[in-house]
Amino acid sequence: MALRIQMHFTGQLARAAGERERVLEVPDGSTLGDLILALARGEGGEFASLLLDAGGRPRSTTLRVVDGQQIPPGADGLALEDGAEVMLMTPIAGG
Amino acid sequence: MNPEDMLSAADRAVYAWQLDLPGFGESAQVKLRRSTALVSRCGGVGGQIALSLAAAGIGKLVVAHAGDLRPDDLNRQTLMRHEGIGHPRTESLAATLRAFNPGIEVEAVAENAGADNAPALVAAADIVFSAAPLFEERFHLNRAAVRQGKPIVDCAMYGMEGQVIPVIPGRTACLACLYPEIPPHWRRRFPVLGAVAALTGNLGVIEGIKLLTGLGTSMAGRMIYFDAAEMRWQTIGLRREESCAVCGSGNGEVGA
Repeated sequence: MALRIQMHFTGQLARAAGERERVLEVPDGSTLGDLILALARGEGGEFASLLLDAGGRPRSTTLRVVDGQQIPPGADGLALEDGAEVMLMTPIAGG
Repeated sequence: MNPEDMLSAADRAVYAWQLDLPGFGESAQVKLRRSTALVSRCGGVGGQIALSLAAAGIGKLVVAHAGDLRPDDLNRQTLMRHEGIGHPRTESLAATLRAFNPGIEVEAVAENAGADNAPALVAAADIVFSAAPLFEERFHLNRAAVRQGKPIVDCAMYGMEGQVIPVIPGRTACLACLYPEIPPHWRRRFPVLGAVAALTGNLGVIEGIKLLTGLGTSMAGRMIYFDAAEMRWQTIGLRREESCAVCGSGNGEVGA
């Protein structure tokens, strides 16, 4: 069974993706970290470089938000639930 | 009653409509008059912060921004004037703010926040509004504000998006809780619609006035996020990191 995840992208990530929203299906049992890796590998290019560091690990500076609550990067093992809303936000500092 | 606890007739005349706000009143207006706000940078976001604080009757504004005005500042930096191009931005901003509200004190500092001056800039203020276009400056202010226990409202925008993070040191997540290192992809040049920058600044002022006066419900501990392209608004619960290098047990120096 696949999990249907409602994705939201903001900032530079939305610009690289060319869209702000997407529904993504991931295997049952997927974690937040799995989702980020799957997204980056599927999209590649600038989108992937925004999400992953040179070692291919999810960047600590991407803000992760699941169902309206920020999740720290150390909690990428969070198990996702079907229907979850996940927002990935690139840091912005326009002043 | 101490005269400093009362409003003058002139104050009542200027702030009459604001005094009508439920939950505000004279005591809140006096709190604003007794407060000093530091505004870091007076670009599209920070300029609007300074102007709206001046309109609300903040007692003193300290506005820090280095450099001379350029033509490409003028789509968003509404404290400036065309005749100020090539001259220090602080000249334009101070003249505009003083003309707009001669009842407040304005100190214009022709410097950006850095490791050397952030502690002193923050020490002179009751609240800090952070609106620099570089994370390095934001981290310097965040660290100084946390160490001095001063509330800080971080206001940022990108294109049609904006976000505001009010921080109460020791109680709610600070900037370093969210970004444990300097974000590597941020660039000094970013897309700006001036109205979005102003909207972001005004949201920050609303949150700052809440912190100073107790008006309404503070969003400290949450991020206010909006995407004006779709008029999508939400608040996001933020988690304070116990191991944060700035406000937690960590010993690092994020952004140093």
